[in-house]
Amino acid sequence: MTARYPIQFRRIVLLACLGGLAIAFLPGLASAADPLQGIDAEREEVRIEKEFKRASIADAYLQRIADRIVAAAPTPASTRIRIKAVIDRNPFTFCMGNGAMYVSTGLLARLESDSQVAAILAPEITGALAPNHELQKEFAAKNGKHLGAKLFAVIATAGMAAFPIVSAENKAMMSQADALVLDNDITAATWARRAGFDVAQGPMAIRRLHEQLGAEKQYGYNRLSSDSGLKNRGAQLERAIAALPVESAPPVPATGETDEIGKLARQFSILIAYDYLENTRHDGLPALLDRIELEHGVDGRTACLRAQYVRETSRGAMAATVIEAFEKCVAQPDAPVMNLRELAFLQRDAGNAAAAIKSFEKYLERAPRAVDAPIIKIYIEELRAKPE
Amino acid sequence: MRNLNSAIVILMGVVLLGLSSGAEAATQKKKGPPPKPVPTDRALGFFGNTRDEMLGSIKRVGILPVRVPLEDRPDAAKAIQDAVARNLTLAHFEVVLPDTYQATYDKFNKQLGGMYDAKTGVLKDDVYNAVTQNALREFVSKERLDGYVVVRVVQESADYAGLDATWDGVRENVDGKKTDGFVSFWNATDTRGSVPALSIRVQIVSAQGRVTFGRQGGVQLTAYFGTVPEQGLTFVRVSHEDLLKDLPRIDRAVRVATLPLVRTPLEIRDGQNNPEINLALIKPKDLPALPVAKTGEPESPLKVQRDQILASVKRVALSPVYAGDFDVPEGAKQRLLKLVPQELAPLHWEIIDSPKIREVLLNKLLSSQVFDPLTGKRDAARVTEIRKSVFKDLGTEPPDAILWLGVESFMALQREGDVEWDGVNQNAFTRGPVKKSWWVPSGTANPMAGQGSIKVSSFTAYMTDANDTVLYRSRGGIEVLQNLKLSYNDAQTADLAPSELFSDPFRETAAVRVALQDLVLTPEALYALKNPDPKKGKKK
Repeated sequence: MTARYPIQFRRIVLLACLGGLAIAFLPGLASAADPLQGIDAEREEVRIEKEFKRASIADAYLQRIADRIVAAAPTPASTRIRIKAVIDRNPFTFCMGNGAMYVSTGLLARLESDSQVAAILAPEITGALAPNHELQKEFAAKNGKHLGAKLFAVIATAGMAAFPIVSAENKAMMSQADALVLDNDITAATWARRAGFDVAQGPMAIRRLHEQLGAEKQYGYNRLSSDSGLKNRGAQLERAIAALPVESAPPVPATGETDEIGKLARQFSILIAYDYLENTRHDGLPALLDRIELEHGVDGRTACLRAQYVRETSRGAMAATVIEAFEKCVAQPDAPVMNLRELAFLQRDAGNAAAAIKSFEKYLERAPRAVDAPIIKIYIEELRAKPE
Repeated sequence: MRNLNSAIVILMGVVLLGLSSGAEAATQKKKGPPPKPVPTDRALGFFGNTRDEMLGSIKRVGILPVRVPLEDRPDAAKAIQDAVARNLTLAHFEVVLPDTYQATYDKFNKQLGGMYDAKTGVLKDDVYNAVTQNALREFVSKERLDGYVVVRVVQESADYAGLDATWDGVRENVDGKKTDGFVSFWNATDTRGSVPALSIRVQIVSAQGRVTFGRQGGVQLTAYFGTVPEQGLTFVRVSHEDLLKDLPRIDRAVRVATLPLVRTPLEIRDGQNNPEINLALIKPKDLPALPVAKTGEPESPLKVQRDQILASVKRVALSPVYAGDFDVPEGAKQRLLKLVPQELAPLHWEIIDSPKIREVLLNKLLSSQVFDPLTGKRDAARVTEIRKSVFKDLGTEPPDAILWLGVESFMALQREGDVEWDGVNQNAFTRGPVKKSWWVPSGTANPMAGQGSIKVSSFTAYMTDANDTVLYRSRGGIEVLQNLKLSYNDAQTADLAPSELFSDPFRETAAVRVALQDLVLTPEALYALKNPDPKKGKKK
């Protein structure tokens, strides 16, 4: 329920405010690139905790990675990074000034080594713990210069000068932003390398994300999920690695690599597959299942997800194909038991009472305490009572 | 800074260019608008298939029982179901009504011993899923359906500008009045925003379980924005009893939702000026009058005469402060509890602390199975009996009444950033008290914030006697739980951090005082408190 007053009034107030601000704060403002701090960060944390479901199973693993990176900082950090995994199919990660950091399951599902995780997380951590204030101030001071002259030029040319001026300003702003990102990426790569991670895995991780999201037709909108964002980020990380100072610690082979990320990636990839299925994102499902099976092998979950995909995308005349897919699914020893029930329904609808009874019985055998067991028994009785 | 510079430079450029080129533009010959494109199948609500594919593969559909978010309104569900069946038949579907589904659903529900927990009344998700999924399977299988239709009434948000509220293909007057033409022009407020509304959602799901079509049609507004005597422009809610009783509006909503099934995309494009196709053209004056929103005086907290309460109550048991899901720090609960005897002191009641009373009541309720496992309905008479019996558990000399205390959060209305609720006020920008002034800069109100909902908390108190008669029920506002931030064209709410809440003892004292004042103060003193003499305190 909202009500807003006439737009003209707001425009007048906005213009007055803009003018006032321009006059009052011309000498320079703090950079907007700084992560959220203080009470704003706390409020944002409250919002995020409400918006996302947690994937606590990955928290301890991520915390270990983050702690290793922070421990490699030249001076002890004043803020402790508190890292949490949240469920979202889109890859993202960010860290706020108060140390609260979030990583999406969509990101973890698509990475394959500790070094890849570290290389992606490190820039977020250094951005929060060690932002380059000197560089930011330098740019802010540059930006504040010559505003009066620019305004005069615009007025004197009846507005024509506005466009080249803005274009030049945009270019300058982008190059400054790039310089800030590069500076932060270099710091991050230095810390990560000192912590024993292979930072060359950073650009590879980005390439992986790009390929997978492309295959699944699921590009998003942030720098770790959009087509252009990923291309740009990959190049940024490569530049940072190339620019690592010679005097920094020499590259050491990655140490302490575990397969924890492999297990998490599989689990979260399956979660994304269920999400695609529930939200009718059928386009991305085959490519995702192909990748899971290629990297982690076929199992009951992937086979049954495929069967569900076939069922949902099938037309009426494809009953045999759907039954075949479910037969493959239940043939896996670890297939979720409800797929047996699904198969029985399909067989019953196709008029194959004997096969349906067998599948229902198998379902009851494997899930004797299933909530719907009394209903399934009714089905079996009805099927048995039916004439052949 | 850089953005600011750019914004100022662009602004100047655009203004000057606009001034220089305006005259030339005016002389250019006006061209007629290009014809509107034919709406795509996706835009009309067809998912994962085209309109032709969907209509070609799904011929016979079954309607599932209509879900309405209002309790005990089978009349509304029936009216919606009839309208959906009528319109689907118009679209050449063979329609099966939900009777066989309902019979199977009831049979399975009984078979599994009911889907509600008899002790708590909570829906058991696993049983519910088993019952509904199996009933649906049977419905599709036995009725040989190609698909089924899910119909539900959903809460929506209707955008309005001036007097016009539009959402889900319909238009209404945001003030809830049946005016048009000059009167509506005269009454227009020149504000914009959103009001809550109800819509009907129709989804067609294939027998394979895939949603193939989904679309909504607006029914009616559940709150109006208009001029209220003594309050000026504000929101007023429509009573729940008055919702979903308007058959022409229900029919209009269903026609909007099913339009792409009945009409082709080309007919829809070409019928934009035809009220039979573009139902937003139906004027409010051509429909029945909207229900009147009640804006009367708030209910009195005294459910029984104050004198009667004072005559019959001498000993009162205090429950602990209950907050349910609302995360209230234990310290704050204890502070609020401590304030209650202080506030009640003028009544000279004997106050008994009963920290276990809620637990005792809960245990008794849990052991009594007061909910019907099949329907989830509560046995009110049984609950009353249990609540009465709690008095006997409070020692040899039971109290005359129990004062049940709590804290709850809910949405209140912010007007220009000022929030007034449950006898208190607070500004949502500063979180300080509201200061009213006709001269905007010296008051706390900020017109840029407009009006809107904001989350607040209140202290609650209600008193029952040994017969479980409610004697008193009141609330006192504690604080806002969100703050407001202005952006270019909106005021955004953001939840406050836990460290910012329950940190002002003054507000907690005021909340308890307001919640109990109707009980503690004489009617005369209360009147004087609520209507302070404006001349008092002024220099003669």
